[in-house]
Amino acid sequence: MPTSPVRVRAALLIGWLLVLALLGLYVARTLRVGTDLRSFMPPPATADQRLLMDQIGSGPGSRLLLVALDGAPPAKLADLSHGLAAALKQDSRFTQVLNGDFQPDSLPSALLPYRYLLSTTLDTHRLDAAYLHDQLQQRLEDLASPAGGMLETWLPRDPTLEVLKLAQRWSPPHAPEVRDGVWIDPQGEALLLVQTRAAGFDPGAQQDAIAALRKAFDDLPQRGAATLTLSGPGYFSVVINRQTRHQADWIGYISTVGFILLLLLAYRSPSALLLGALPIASGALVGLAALVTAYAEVHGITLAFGFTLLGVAQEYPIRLLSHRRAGASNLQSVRGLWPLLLTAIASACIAYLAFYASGVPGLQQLAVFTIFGLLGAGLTTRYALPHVLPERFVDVARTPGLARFRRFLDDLPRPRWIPLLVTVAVAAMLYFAPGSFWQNNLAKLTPLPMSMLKTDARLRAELGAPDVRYLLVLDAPTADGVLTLSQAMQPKLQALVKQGALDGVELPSRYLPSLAVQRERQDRLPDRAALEAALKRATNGMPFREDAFAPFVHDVETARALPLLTPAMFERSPLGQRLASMLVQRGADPRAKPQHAGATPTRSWVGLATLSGVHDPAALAALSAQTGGKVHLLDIKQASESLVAAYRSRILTALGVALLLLVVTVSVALRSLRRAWHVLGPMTLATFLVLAVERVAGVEISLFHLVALILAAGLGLHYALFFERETGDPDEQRRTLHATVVCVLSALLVFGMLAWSSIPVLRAIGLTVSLGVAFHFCLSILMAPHAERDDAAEK
Amino acid sequence: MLALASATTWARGPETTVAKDDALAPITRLAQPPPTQVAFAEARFSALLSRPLVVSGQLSWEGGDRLQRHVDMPYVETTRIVDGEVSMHRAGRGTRHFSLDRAPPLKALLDSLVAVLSGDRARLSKAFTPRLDQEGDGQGWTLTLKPKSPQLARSLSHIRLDGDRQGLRCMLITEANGTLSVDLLGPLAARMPAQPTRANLTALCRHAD
Repeated sequence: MPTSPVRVRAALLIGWLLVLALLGLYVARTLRVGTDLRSFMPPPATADQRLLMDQIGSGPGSRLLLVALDGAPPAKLADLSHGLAAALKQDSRFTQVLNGDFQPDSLPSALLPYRYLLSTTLDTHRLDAAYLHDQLQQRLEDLASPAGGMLETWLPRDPTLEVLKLAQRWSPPHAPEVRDGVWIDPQGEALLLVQTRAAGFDPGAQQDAIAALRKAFDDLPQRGAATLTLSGPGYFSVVINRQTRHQADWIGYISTVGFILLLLLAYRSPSALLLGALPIASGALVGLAALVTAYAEVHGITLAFGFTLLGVAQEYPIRLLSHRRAGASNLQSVRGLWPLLLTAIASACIAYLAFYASGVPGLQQLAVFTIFGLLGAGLTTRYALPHVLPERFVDVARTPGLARFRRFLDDLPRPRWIPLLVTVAVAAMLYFAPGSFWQNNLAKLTPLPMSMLKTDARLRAELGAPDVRYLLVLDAPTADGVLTLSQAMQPKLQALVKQGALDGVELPSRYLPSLAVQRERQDRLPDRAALEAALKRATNGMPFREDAFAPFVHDVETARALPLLTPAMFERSPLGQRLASMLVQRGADPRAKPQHAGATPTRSWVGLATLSGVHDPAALAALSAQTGGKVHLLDIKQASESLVAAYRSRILTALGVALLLLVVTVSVALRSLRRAWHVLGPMTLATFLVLAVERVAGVEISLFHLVALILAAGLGLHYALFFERETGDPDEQRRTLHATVVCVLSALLVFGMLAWSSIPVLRAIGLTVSLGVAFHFCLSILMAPHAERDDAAEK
Repeated sequence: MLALASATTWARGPETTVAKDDALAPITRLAQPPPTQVAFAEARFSALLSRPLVVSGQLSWEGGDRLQRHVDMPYVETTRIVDGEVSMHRAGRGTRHFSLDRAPPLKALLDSLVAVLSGDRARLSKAFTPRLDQEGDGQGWTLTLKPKSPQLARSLSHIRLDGDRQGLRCMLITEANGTLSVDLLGPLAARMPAQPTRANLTALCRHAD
């Protein structure tokens, strides 16, 4: 092939850049990034896992933000608390705002007559003359007491104080002290409980809500030096997100600069560096374009991991740059490399196909992105890059010191027992490693500063906010069935509270009684004539004006004819939001698969009772047996761990399948099982060696380690493939070594930086890939067969 | 700082005077060290009622923000206010607790009463706009307290304290909805009319005999 004239090269380059720009434009216009962590979870298998997936983030506990105001005198903080609560109640991002303020009118006026159906009074009393006389006598005494002013306006409508009884019933069980009308803790902070509409583990939406909350606080007049402290699962997810991004960013900057310097040093040509970046840019854009075409929303984690995994593709242009030699055109060089590169690309793509089969939406996206990305980078390296690279270059085989390094490596002994030794060492290390093998606790990967956790524990205790770990699950075919069950459980749970098994429980029936109970209460309400007669007898001799209780008579008459209050009706009121989060329909998550034949498909409503201060989970778990499984304790930690374990077994299966496919691919490509062993042997052993070393160092293996192991294995496969390549030319061997060393150094640079991160996810990836690259490189050399032969030939 | 210093000076006695606050001088003369106890008879006029409710008993100030209101007629009831917490015990009905903040008029009553009893003018002027009217002979006086905060004004219209050289005679609390409670204090407590009306009670309070 004749050398491309400069003009043709320039035209090709411009054309290439144009295509990239168009792709970029398409991606930028279509890309929608999602942040819901649920799409990185495997499909739930058990009922509890399914419930967890429905509830993770949207459950009552996880949508709660704990707010503390500090830095000013309590009276001032109380004003701020009132102001903040008023502002947030106007904001649709928040479904409930509590600050301790008692408002008898928190029940909307239209629902007020329902108080007779909601309160327990009518279970034990009738609105007859005797009861009313007793109540009204008390009200007279109340009126003459210092509290009289508080009640006076309510008495005509509510002489039996049902609204007050409901307010007491609905206030948090262990609320902090109220001063100046708001919750103030012993430290003098004003406390608020705010429930967001957004799911707790949707950092994007939480960030939005938290920003709105902070702005509402900042906009308060005369805020002065007062400060706002936040806590809760939603806030944590935002903090973790920000921290991770921040560290990843600055590590990224440093390693990019290092990477550029390394390539400049290796090829001594800025144009080679710039042009060498084109295939990986093409790969990234092709991958993104495939993603946005196939999926409406791309997950943020897919992008982060995807770009990490695409790092493998940087090898393709590096191989081409290093293997150019005098007397051969770029095209001839790339043709010589292509069979090996194609094998490497195909193997990696096959491995990621296994990811696609995992059934986890986030991993499937990752597979689509990486496969298309690798193909894009590989094909542009083969078919476009050689045409735009300048034909004048420095042959890297002449790099000073390279020949000596090669000789040093060649002189290393290559005993045949190395694989055996490594295998035994790996087995021994895995056997004696401390701690448990797998890290199932997702929370450990996303650590929070101790101070934050302490604040959370303190605020949670002050506010009597429920445990995040446990939920009591009530199953029934209908919403009303859940409420009936909830009522039946009430005395049993109260007994458990008395025994000290837990501190408190909040059942859905606390907010809304079942229809049957409501009907019973309704039936006990007297008709107008009877009530008026009873009132007349009850007030005989009392100083009340004759028509003082007309609004009461009217409300009772209304209540007698009311349609019973269903959850759907109640949930439309501001108070109903609390119930809505405790009473959910199963299968609200569209991803949930139909239940197994053995399960009970008729149970389709779930009540979630929040528990606080669980001391004896076993006693609560025993309720399950007593109720035939209709009520059971959901241990969110355990359910999420089992979910992670299920997730891992899917990944491991995928990896097993990928390994088999790799053996087949590499054997077919090299047309020799023996040669395939020389490639796959070092790769497999090095992978297990990384695992063993990390385990011996006390690292528990998480999903992120597995993803990183796969990336390292992809790199290792390249090293082994190229070292295994049969070639009698010492220059070509040096070029192979040069390319490999550049690759190893750049990988060590990028991932070694990550290994220093304080965030476990980044550290897991960085450490694993760095170790992997080092082990793959060493084992590829020590187990390469031909070096020994060449060594002998040279002698 | 200045206000606090002058308040302390005032509390010592009427001899030392600060010209600006001379107007409230008669009040500070009433200051007396706790504990003090005084008999009371209260009539409450409300739109709900065709005739006022009358109770009587003792009011005790135990110093600080601790106040006790003990009713012994026509039933027994004890209300204690201790550090912002109100507990109300009624014979045969158990004890009810609530925060003082839930009852702004009660808090205002405590503020005004404690301020007067301890001679703390600063506290009076902090929560209220006070106005003192003296009678011609210099014997009787009327202190009218209007709440400063609009929030409190929504429930409380004003508090009126009537007194003479010997001390407080009456306390009249007018709530925003028109409800009026009149407390006859000390020797006057024994003179609650059998048929109290707003007019005859006001007259009783105003005119020192």
